[in-house]
Amino acid sequence: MKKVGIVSYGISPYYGAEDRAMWGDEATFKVAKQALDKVGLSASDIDTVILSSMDGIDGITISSALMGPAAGAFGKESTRIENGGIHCAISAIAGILSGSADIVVVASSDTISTNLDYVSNTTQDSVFRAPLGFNQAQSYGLLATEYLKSMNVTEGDFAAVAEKNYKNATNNELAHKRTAHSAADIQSSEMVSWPLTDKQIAGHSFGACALIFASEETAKKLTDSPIWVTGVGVGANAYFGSWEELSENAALEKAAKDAYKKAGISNPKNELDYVEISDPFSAFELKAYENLGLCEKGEAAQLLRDGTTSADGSLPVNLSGGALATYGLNSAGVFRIVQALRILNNEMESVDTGNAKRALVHDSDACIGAVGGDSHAVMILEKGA
Amino acid sequence: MTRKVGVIGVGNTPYTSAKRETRERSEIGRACIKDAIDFVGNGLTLADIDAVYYTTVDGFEGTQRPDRTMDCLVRGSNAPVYFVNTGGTSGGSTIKDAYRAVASGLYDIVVVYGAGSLIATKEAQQILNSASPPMIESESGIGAMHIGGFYLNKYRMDYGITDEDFAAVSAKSHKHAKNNPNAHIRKGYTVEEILASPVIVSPIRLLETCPVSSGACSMILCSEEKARELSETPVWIKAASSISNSFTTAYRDFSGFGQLEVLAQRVYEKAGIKNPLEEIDYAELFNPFGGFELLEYEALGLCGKGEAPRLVHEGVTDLGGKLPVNLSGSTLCTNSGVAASLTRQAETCLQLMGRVEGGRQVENARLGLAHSWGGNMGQFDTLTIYERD
Repeated sequence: MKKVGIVSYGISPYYGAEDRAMWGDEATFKVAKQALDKVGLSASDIDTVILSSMDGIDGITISSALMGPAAGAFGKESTRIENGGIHCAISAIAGILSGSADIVVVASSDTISTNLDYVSNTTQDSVFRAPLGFNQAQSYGLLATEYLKSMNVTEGDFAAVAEKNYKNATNNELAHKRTAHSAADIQSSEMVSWPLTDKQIAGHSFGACALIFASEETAKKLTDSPIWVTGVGVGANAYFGSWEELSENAALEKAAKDAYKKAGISNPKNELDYVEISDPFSAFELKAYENLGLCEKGEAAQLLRDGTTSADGSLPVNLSGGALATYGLNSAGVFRIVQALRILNNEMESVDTGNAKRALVHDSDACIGAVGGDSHAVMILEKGA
Repeated sequence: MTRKVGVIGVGNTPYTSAKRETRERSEIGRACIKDAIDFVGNGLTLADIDAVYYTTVDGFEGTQRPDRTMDCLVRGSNAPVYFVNTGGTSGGSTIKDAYRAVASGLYDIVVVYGAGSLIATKEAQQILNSASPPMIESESGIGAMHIGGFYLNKYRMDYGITDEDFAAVSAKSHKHAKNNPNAHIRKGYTVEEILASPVIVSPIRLLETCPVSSGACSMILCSEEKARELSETPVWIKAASSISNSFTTAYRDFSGFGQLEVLAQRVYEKAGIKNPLEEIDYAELFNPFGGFELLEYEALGLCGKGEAPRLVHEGVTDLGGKLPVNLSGSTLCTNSGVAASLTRQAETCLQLMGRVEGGRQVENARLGLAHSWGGNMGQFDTLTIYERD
């Protein structure tokens, strides 16, 4: 794959529902402008704007009509993709590689407080799952239960991965939840969907972020330190897929395989320096280690226990705090990319990853449910000329 | 670097009223994709599809993210699914995205589909109202039809356009929809019947207003190499783009579709079109309200300002004319949610492939244009230029 550059980003610190003070267009405008200003661009330089959002999360129909102009789309091309930020980034990359666009803004915001249990329930099929009240938290519980049976992990490992992420978030001034919790506290917090407690399921965070993509040639002109996208991959799990396919997350495996192939990665554990996983529940991160080929099946807990994926390990995962600390339901994917950019650019104070050169970012729409119908995307980012 | 992208297959289900629909949306989704696969033939199967581009407006399906339960293709393959939603222009936006994915080399063969059933929606207007700006438009119940009325009234005042002019262009759609086996409203209403129907939002009459339809449409796009291998009549995408207007409407003076005019210039330049009326052989224009077609002629540079009715009265845009437009009946006669904007693309490709039924085939059509308009306040337009060898 010919590479495409990410030349700039804009982001607001994320916060909780009680601190919301902006409409979606205001929040979007601020981060898009911030991203443009950093590299001396104005709205007139933009060719295309791509919005990452879901109508159900924004609480209005065709919400891209509101957010688009705020991100600089007036008089320009725009589109909106609902599967998440990396899907949008892939659309940006396709636009650039096809010669249709040179500078593309991907933007996303979370400003509306919504009843996620209800929204998730409406995304279920109307015959089998919706009437049961099925929603995202139950799907997470089902998967975590399966992992306990099949993955050589314990409930203690689930709590430990959450502990690691909360601890990481204390060093991230952009994160929403920045309080450390011990594994014991996490395990004894309120039970939500067995075996997952309240502190093991991501909540809803608010804020906005934007990215600017450019062709290789333009990226080099705009900044001395572009980050290159060298691989992408996407997979979707069929809604009525087999239990094996769904519990094994075949979609994420496919996404990772495709991204590695494009980026020329054969041994991800050794060739990656940093990993950012969108983990809507604690156990998801452990399963993702397997799905992403960072370890053999059944060895995920070992990676955590021996500190490989902790802040000072050889392959840190979620130094941002991950989704447990910050989860914009629209903007999680764009947020994850921004966090990886900050790591590659050494922008996070009090975080030392040595000289991280190559990162993997994962995103999915599992915020509305994870047992079927969920789509997963993987992107490989690289620093260098 | 950029690869040529061909359309090799088109699939449709019959369209009907959303109130009379008995099929579930996955059913029509699967049916239209199977129809497109069969259209291609040559051994193409679902397993050959690299990615799926699906489109609708969530609220129209009475759910959120209906793509997740559609379950049409990904079972066993985990093929990527992209769900594009830009309101009424979703079909055009999806084609644009899918085109770029193939042109960039990301995927070789993709399916684009929209399966608008609207059966789970009791009242689409309430859902659409949530897309109106909240301070003024939403509070006063202003929706797409009122916005359409503003444009058409301004047009009437500025250029002395008559009710008969609006009725004539609407009657052209009805006349051809009668012969389109896939159309929903196939009554062939005449100018007299249209003028006798009640005004819904001035100056738009009942028979100049699109219905709420149910049905599905799909298209198969692929790289040049695959297209040559799988099809004898591939249609190439020469340009695909869109334009966005502001969310609120207060600043607009409603004189013509200015944004579409800008977009047309960009797209013509990309496709090397200098004189659209002479060069384009067929066009499908988005006409949820019959009179829109006139404003679109002018924005697309087919004639001067205020001259569009002449094109209709002289038959320039009818079958046998210099540039036939909307021989499918377009959105005015079949409006299956956002599939209506995909159908514009599909009907244009069918004309260029020479595969149109019902005596509506334009002879030797080589260059085609498909348009869509959307957002509850008309914030978006898309244009696609197609060409056959």
